[in-house]
Amino acid sequence: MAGKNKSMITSDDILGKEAIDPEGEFLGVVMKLHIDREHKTLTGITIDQGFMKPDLFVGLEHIKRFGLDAIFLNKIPFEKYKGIKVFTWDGILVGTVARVDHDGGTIRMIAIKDNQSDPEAPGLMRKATIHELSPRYIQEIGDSLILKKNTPSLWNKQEQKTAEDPSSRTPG
Amino acid sequence: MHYLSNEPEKISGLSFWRILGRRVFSRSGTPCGRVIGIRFKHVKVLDVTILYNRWTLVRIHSSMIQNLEDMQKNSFMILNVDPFYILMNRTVFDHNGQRMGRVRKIKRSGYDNSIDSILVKDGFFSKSWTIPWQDVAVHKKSIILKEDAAASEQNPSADYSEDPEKQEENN
Repeated sequence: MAGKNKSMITSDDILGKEAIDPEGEFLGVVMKLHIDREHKTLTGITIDQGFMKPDLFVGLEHIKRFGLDAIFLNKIPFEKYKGIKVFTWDGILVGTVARVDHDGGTIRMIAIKDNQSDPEAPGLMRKATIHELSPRYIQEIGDSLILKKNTPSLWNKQEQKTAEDPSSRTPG
Repeated sequence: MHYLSNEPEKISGLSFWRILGRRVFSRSGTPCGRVIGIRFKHVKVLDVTILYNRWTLVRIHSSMIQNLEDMQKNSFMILNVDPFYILMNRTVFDHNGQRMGRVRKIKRSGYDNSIDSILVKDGFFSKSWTIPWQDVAVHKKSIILKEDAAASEQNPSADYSEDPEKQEENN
């Protein structure tokens, strides 16, 4: 057999390595390699995200580099934002992210699970409601989601509708 | 409680004790500690003292607090910066994906949020590296260095020089 080429790596160099997204967040550990049986090429990897989290398949096109100690991805898996806290501009906790709809590269809509829809109801009797919010109201998203100052109240549908549709605003 | 004021209505506001112990989040929503003190100059809030990770005490100027004016009874404090000290102990990778260690020290020249360099060290007996801040490409959950920064790794006199304090000790 020929000597090992420096640009070639083996499965041992990939399996068990940390997967890091473009924001530098540790997503999990690589546990599987997927190989196309017909074309005999690597198609992707599976990342073990840990206890109670589903395994994440990452296609080869989303892998930036197979590093020595870590594997860098070139795309943020938006699913990682599920469950993070949502704050208004002035720091009030309004709920958590329930779902993120995206078209590959950009977020289209964020669903926020809100526990404050009926502030009059006692704690355990409160029903959680899901509000869909446009990404243009996002000031920053990271460990938590912070909304912009002009974001309409999540529980005020009329206010939200007016903000979404400028034609419905009354002049003056 | 009796109320004495020249204003016709009660002025809404927050008392010092309501703000004390309140959680603080950075611009990107990272927890940054809790408020343990507030300094005033005349009647204006000058800065807020924050306790982070049990040991780190930081004073943050009121201009770096996003919602100081709009704080409500149940709101958290949100900064308009990602403060430098949350980078402590974050893992550092070079552009090849090689783990270099963790951030042990952050060097700054002034009192603002800008960083000059970081000191990276892995274990007790391992090498330490001083990395200029301009060589950092990503600094969120981990720190990833730029490609050209890693290229100068082999040159000890360039960016990836060993910790200068240690070099002086050796000499």
